[in-house]
Amino acid sequence: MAIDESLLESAASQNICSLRWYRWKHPTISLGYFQKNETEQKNDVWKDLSTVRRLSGGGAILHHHELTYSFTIPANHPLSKSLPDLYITIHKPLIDVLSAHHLKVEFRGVSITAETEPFLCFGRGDERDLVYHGHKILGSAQRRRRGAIVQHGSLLLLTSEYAPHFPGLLNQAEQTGLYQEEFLTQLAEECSQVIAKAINLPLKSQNLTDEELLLASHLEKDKYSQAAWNSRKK
Amino acid sequence: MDQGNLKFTKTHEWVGVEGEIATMGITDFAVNQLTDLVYIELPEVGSNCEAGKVFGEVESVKAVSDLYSPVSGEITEANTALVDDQSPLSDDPFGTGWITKVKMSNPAELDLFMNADDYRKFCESEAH
Repeated sequence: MAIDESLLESAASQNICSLRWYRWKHPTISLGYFQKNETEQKNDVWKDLSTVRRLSGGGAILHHHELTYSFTIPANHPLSKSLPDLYITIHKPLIDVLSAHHLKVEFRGVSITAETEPFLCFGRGDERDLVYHGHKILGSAQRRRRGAIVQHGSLLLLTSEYAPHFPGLLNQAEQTGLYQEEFLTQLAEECSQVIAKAINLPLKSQNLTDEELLLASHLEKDKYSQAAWNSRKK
Repeated sequence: MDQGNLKFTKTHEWVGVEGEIATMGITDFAVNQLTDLVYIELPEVGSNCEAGKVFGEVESVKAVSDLYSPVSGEITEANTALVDDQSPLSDDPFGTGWITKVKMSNPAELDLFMNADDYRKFCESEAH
């Protein structure tokens, strides 16, 4: 989360567009920015899991057996003008890449609204979600700062024992054997290429700059590891 | 409020002035960009805001956006009705959708903003 915010700052202050793929060392719950962090909202099964608050909105994500991405776009890119269109622009190429692997996902197409939104993002329904046979396998959320946007999302690949009611894409497709480092790396690379093409920017592989690492380190220490941040919405 | 009497920023906030009090909100253009609003966080009455700095946050379509204060000063009122019902922001952004009132510390900041005609032209250029 700290690195994602650091990349958002680079987008806002230096007009840098970035795409990052990552996984989590331990199963972790990331809360939507405005979500309450109250024990009664959480399942007992999750009580020992780490929790971190995101900058972006939406519901909580259980990061386990999934692939997370974060994408930043500066204010001077036309795509930064439409929040809904940005979801579609990033999700569409993922449909194409997954289809090439015989994983036929599609947009949900309709939004589902509830008086009380479920705690987990995967229990909520937005028309721009990606679904496989009706089950949500990818959802994204955004944060806009000084016109720049960070959008991050989670591709649910395997069913998590912490949320067995949300089937993973590879479980549904009976392709669980694909959940290997090599396949995940290939998927990230292919998705990066088609997303770069979709936003009409050249793709260049690069490590974080010293400045981005330093800012991320400060954010990790002073914000994302602090109870004051993670429990602040009550 | 009559839009002809308002001032507008490039970040799509509006300001209406009565004496030393500025009423602030976000424009219809901003609301249309944000689409369906579901949360708003307002500044506390008595706190200070600074021109160009964040004074609140809104969430729409799973997107959280910062709100930037057009002027500096002390927050004297916040439209707390918006916390439970954000619809005035889209239904009546220049009226009941006002967000805060501020006792200005530097009214000269208003000179930097656009009038309604210039703002409309600015929005047209943003949309293309």
